[in-house]
Amino acid sequence: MGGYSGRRGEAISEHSLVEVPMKPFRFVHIADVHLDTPFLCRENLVRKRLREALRQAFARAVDLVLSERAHALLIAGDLFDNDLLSFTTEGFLLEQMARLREAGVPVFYATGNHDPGRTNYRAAHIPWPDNVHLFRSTSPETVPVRDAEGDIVGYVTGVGHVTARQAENLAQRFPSQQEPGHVALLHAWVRETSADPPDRCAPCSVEDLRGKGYAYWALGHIHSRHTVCIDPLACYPGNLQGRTPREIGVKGGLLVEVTGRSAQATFYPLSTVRWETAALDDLKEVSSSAELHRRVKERLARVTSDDTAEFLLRVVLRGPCPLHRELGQEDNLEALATEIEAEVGALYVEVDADAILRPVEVDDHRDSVSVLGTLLALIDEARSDDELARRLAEEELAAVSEGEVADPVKYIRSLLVDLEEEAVARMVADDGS
Amino acid sequence: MRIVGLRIEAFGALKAWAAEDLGAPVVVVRGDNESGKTSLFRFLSALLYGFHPANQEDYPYVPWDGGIVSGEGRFLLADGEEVTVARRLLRQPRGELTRRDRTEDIRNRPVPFAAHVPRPLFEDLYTITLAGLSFPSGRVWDELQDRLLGGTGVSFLRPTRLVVEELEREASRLWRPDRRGKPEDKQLRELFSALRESAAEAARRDAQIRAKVHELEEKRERLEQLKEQRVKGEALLHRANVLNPVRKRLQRIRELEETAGDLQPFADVPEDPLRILRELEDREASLQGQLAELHERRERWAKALSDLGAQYVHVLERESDIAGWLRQAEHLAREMSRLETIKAGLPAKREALAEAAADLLTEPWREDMEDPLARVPRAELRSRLRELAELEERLAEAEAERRAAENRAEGLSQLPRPPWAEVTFLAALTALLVAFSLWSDSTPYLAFAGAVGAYALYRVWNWQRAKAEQRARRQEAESRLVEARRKEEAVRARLAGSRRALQDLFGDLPVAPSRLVGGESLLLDVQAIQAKLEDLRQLRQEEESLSQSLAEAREELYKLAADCGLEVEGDPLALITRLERALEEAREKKESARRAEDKLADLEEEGERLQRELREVQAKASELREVLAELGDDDVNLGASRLKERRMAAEMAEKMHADLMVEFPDLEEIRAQIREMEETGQGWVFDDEEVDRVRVQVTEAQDEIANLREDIARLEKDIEQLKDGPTLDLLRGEMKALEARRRRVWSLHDRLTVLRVLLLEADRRFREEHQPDVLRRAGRYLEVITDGRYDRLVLDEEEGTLRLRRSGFSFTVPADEPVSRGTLDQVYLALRLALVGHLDSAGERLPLFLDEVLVNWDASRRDRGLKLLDEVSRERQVFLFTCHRWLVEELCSRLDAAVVDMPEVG
Repeated sequence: MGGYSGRRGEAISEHSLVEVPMKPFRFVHIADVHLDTPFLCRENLVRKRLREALRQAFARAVDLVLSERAHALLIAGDLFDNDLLSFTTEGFLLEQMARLREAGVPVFYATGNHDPGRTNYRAAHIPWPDNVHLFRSTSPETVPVRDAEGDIVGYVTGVGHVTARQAENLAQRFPSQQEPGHVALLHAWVRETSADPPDRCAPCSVEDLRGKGYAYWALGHIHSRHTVCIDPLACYPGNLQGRTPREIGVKGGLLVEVTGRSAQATFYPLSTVRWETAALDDLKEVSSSAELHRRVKERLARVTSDDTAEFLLRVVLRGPCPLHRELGQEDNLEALATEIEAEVGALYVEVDADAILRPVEVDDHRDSVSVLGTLLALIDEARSDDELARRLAEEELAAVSEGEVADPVKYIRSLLVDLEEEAVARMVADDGS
Repeated sequence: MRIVGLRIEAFGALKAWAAEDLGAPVVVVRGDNESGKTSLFRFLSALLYGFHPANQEDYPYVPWDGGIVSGEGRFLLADGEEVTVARRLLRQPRGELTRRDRTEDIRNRPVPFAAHVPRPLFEDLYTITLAGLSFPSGRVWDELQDRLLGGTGVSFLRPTRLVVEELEREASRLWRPDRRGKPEDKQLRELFSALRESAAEAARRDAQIRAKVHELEEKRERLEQLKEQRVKGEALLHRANVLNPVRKRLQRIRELEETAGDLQPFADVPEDPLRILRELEDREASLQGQLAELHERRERWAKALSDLGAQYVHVLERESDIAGWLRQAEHLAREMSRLETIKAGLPAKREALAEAAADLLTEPWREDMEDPLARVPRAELRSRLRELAELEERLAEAEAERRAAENRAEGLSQLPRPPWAEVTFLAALTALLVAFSLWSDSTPYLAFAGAVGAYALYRVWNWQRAKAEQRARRQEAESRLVEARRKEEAVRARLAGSRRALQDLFGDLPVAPSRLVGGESLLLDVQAIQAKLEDLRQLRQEEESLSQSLAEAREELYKLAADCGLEVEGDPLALITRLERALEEAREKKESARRAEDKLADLEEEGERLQRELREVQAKASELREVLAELGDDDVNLGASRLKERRMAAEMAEKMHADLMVEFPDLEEIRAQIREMEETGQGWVFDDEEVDRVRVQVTEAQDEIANLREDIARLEKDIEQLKDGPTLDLLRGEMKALEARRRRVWSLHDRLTVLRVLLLEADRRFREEHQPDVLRRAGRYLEVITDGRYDRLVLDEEEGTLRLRRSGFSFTVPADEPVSRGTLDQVYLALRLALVGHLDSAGERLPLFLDEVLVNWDASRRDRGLKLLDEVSRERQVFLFTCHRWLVEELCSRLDAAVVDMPEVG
């Protein structure tokens, strides 16, 4: 039986004499595991399955490390949701770390905004085994990584979030590295363009990542997998398991190989359950349940044909549809969901028909000398007239009263989407043209 | 705008229909019901606005015979320009607008000069039917507003008021700003609160789990310590209580084993050797006595064997022959009986033969006739008899033929008689007629006389001819008679020859000549006699054969009896019985001898066995004496005593060892522990006080261990139970889902609220913009249609009611009872016409279509209606549909009208 033979706390200072690695540095990069995260789903059984799937995905990440004989596992923050981490999951987490310890693999884990490192948070109190190196301070730390022969293959420099609201630019704190084989580990929001929406989680820019001498930036925080920068290579692996219907597709981790100052990352799917969304918005001609069924199946064929993993499906039906009455009844939606579930073998299917409208010809009534024509003009006016939108926001609106609205005008505009169709549908009698 | 011409290729029921010169202000369209008036209006709508729906499958006016919807119309616009619009519904709708020789592709778009009025409004408001002229039944202003003025203006739009109420109701079901009712959001909020409590409980549970796990680990650590302490104490007690006693018992076992020594050489010596020695000696004496008795019995059986005699030996030697005769006895008896029967039956057979031959022969039957008669060949006899019968038949035929020839010759012997009397009479008559003719010089009599004379000559000539023919037939009959006689003689000769040949078949036998005739009779008799002869011959052969075989059997049997020593005489069957008896006796004797032989063999074997046992007994006794003598220094008794003592020591050692094994299954391990302790030099002396103290310590440790185990089990159970509860992440997930549902509810509510507010605002704006103009126009129309009785319509803003002003008065009355129903209908018509006037006031005036509107009005009212139409037609073209000719005539006489006839209903 093997075991971890590394030297815990073997951090090197900026001024230490460092050994230049001669071998490629191979590691698995994951982030945003969010163990014990609350899954947004109505069904309790499905939430349980998702929790189990998340653990399976993490265990598969460990399997990947072992099967690929990686030198280390890098976790770029949000390993778990701080106050939600149950004792059982904590036990599971330590078991997986122990597996890696048994194989002599170190784990580099930088805390994120959901699992901050200050002593009043959970991460600082978990009895981590000695192969886990925890970056839970905003001061960068550099740790050498050794292979089975004891030779240094690379260095990991990391910082962690101390609190849940780490708003400062942590990337700027990373020291510049002169030697090859350095990897940076960071949980942060990297703003790629000026059009990106603001985020308070350790915001930084792509420019902050460049010029510091790191071969690879192992990032965390963004749940969709993508590459932020090519030189140096900086990647978000995405989360391990989709948490909401918006986080669709197969999730997993990156197997990274750093050679000198260059790096190459390969994606490995690890999730066992994925979210998928099938949106149908051209339903004007669908006048029978059989036709609707056929359309849904046709759309699903494109969604479900890629792999054999279990999946949760959200079918979104939008726009005018002759079946608007039937689709307005919860029983029918549940029956449709059950049928789709059986047909495509989905773990769970949710049909969202909130945006289904009665088929109407809005253009027939636009500019007409009638109240409806005036109403359509008024809706159009509200889209551009801030004053009118503000007046509308002063009505007894639920979201405003509940304090959910930060920008009333923007909120009113969001309510105006497809409102013309709804207006015509309500004003025109059912047998009208 | 006016329509000046229409041409329809196909549209619904209308096919190849055209109407020109329609440019009059009023166009009266005359046609029966179902003649296509509605189709005509829809065609005009299609010309102006295109096809809706815009595909052949769904468009309702595609002809049933599958033709293509197509047509065109010419329009005169307000500025004097004439334009042509052509529409055609193919797979894609097509449209062309031609003005001033320039054609524009408008596809399915509305024509520009009608675009200011949307199609739905045109189709709904620009047609007025008789049924659509009724004042709203509720007679309230709200309803009238909803129907006409209150913003919608058209029937296909729902009243604003209803839609607002509906939006408010639906929004309240989702969310309310106050605490009233049970809107969906309130229910979700309550559910959310309950979940929040559950989440707090789950967090507490997790903290409890962690605390209990910590406690569990502490208790497990203490448990391990106690287990170690207990093990040490138990080891000491084990040494004192188990190892020491075992060690002492093992030592005693070793001592006993030394006493017993090696008993292997005496393993075969019995437990009580002296008793066994005595028993062997007694057995030796008994065996010798048995041998003497055996000898005597053997002598007796040898004598019985020699008693079997020579006679029985002979019988047994011929046993198979005797058995053969016994099997043949029955057959022999049958043969003897058969011989007797044959001998008795032969005379009767001979007598029957003689009787049968008497019918055939002329002499009495003799035995020497048997062979000749038996040799008569039946086949040849049958052939001869058939030949004879045939000749006899041919003779009869020849005789009959001959007789017929004789009769014929005899019949032709006389010639026909001459007709002399007749000829004479005819000659006389001729002469007489000649005479008379000469006398009278009458030529006809002369001619008649010539004819009579000619007939007489004919009769003479005919007689001569018949006589010659008779002679020829007689000569032929005579020659045939000669031939018949010759043939008869020839047959007779052949018949005689055949009879001789038949007699030759019987040789010298005296066959009666009367039997030598054709037919089957003689053949049957001969067959019967030959059968009897064959039967007799077979009986004679059987008699001879049986006699011979019985004689041979008897001779053989006598020889067998003589061989067996029996007296040879009498019936063979009786002799067989005696042989059988002799054989049974011989068999009994033989069985006795065989038993004697078996007994002697058994006795021989028994003797050998006794001899063998005697030798063994003697050897054992000798051997036992030697062993005991050796153990007892030549004293057999002393040797037996010493062996017994050594065996008892060995038995005791073995028993002690077995007891130890039962008591201590791990004896080998204990032995090893003892050896180890002895090797390490540990003492085997234990202080009782120390043992008691250690025992107490072990007991206390065990008690505490038991308690700890209970605590641990309880803690583990508690932890498992706590783990069973819903975890924080699951509850938070449900809360998130609830939050999402609440946000959705809020969004739906707010959307409905925004729509409601916007609708109310749109309604307000519409009224402000359009209501005054509509009321003004309606007032003017009302004045015309009521012949000046009412001249204005006003709206009471405060009360929200419609009022009418009478001409010449300053006050108004509500548009409600007691105003008459007819006046209210006129108010409604005025309002509708005003709304139409208001709608297209900014562009071309579109034509108005009235369907049988005036038909039920009385003369005075119709007169005012025509005035109103005249007023309206100055502004826009009016199409009036009717099926009544009188109305057509009245319209044409009162208005500047053109008339168009619809195709007749086929």
